[in-house]
Amino acid sequence: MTKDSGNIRDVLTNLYSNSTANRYIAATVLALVVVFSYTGYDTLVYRHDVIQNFSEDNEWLVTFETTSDTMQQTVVLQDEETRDLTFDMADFSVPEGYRIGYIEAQIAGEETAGVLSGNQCDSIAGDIVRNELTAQWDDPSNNLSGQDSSCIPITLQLSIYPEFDGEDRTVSSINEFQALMGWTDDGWGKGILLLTLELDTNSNTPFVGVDDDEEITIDINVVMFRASVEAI
Amino acid sequence: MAELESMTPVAAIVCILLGCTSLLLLKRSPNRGWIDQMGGMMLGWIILFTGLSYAAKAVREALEDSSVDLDFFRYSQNSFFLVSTILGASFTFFYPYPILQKSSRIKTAPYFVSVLSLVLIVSMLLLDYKYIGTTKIVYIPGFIVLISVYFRFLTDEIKNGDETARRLSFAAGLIIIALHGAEMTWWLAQLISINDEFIGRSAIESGVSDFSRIPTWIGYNVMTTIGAVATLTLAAGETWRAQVKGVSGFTIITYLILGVGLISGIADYAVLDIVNSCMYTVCNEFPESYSIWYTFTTDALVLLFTPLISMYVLLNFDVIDSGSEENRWLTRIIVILMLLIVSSTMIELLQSFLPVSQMISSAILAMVVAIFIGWEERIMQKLIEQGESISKKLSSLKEIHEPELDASELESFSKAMGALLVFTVVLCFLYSSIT
Repeated sequence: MTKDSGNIRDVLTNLYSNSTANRYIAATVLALVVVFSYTGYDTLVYRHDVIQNFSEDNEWLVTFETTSDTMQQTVVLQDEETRDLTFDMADFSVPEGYRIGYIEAQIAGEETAGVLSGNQCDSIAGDIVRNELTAQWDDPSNNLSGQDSSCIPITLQLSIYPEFDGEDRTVSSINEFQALMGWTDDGWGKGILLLTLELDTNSNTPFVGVDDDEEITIDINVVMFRASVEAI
Repeated sequence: MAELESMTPVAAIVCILLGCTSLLLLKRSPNRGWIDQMGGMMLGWIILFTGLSYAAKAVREALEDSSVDLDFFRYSQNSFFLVSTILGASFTFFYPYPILQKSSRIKTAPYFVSVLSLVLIVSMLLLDYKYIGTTKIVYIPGFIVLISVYFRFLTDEIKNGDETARRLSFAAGLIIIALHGAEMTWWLAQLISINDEFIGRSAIESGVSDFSRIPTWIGYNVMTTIGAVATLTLAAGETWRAQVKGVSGFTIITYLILGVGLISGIADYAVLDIVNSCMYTVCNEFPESYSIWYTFTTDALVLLFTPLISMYVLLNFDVIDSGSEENRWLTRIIVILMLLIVSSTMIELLQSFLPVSQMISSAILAMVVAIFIGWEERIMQKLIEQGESISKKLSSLKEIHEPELDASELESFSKAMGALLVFTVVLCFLYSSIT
């Protein structure tokens, strides 16, 4: 055997001919194995399992816990009078963690309200007027105008939070935070709710005095929600 | 603060320029030993393929917001990267200490590299590069060879007083940095095992299902482990040498990488909440200072300084005959050009976040140009004078076999790589056309 024969065995023998160096080389290889082992466990076992949880979007069930706050106002309107009523949304009490989902307004006249007047039902009209209130003004589920002359209360509705209808729903996302992201926006339902009322009395009932005004009661019900998710 | 511009186009220009020039200079250096011929050719082609990969990446980065179909560039980038990986892993078996010395094995090298590259290019293309990270495991044997060469000759120098042995340990150390530089700057993060959290973030950011494959993760972990161990072993070796022989330039480079890795590891630990935000909330952006730090350390090392290290290896170890009159002017041009490109890029990068006016940065650039022109003669003289082929050292140790090879047999490597380059381009073009 010659040192420069070129055979791989001879070449490796030459390369590893220094015993001191071999100890350092062995220590380096050992370090490679040790570092790869524990970082490999972290990367290939622990982290990979974590990531696998995100390998496909997970399905989450979003449920809503709801509560509401109501405000009532009574006004007396003269025949053919139109009046604007305002409700400051800041006056409604929104619990911590809740967002406003939608607003319901119920408008009822005194006949409707059950007070026996002997008169015919008056014609009452009510509108929620579009203004700077942050809401879903173009939502198809809105009912912004109502009119009644048959003593039935008028119910109006304005959707405030996007896509909130109170029903549970299933969403796909990689984690709980992102599943909830659509339901934690602040800023909706800020401003003034403006309601316009209009009265047209029916006073031609015989044997009963002239009916030229009406007491109207307005109930504003603000429905609030808090979303929570659970993996399906 | 202006956004930091990508260094990829500059890296592409630098690498392609250096790759072509080194191959040309090597062709004009007929009297080199077979180790220098083979090592030089391999290094030249590694730099060229890396440059082409960067060029394809730069095109993708430039046109990513447009409607242009970039599939060809994606395939090219990954394919050239694969070839440079195979070449890089094979290179360590020929340079600086050739493990394969028999003529039959040397002649087989181009076929081995070509066939393995083709197999990987085609298979990764068909698998849509989902397992491309796996290919990094090919670096393991090469790293063990390089670290063995480093310690063998470091010990020879310190224990046996063989001053000429430094040349080989120095070459091995430089090649380790050239091949594993990026991962070396992540040594602390790897030791405290937080790199996996960064891999996890990348997985989520880039679409989990394409990323979370075990073989790919093994590849990444192999590379980061090699980087961490390389930094620590080189630092230990250089500390030992510095105690006996004094501090050298390479000692400073090693300590710089050690220091950068230390700071990077602390910075990485500090941003772990941001890293993990992808998993538990939404992916938050890294702080600007963190991005700047990585641009100036890891990115600059990989994209700008690795070509410079390669150029230094070519000149300092006399791989190319830079002393001959025929090669001298071209060598000078390429050295000055590369130093200027890298310096001006660094100045531009600094200007993008420091409140320095263009007038001042132009003045600094002019100073750099003046220094390089003034010192050009000195720089070149020093490189050429110091230049000594490692094959001389191995011959003196009688550890080098002189196989019967003529120049044309060695040049078959370049022909094979040229054919591989053309084949890769055609394949990527065809595949992007039909998919």
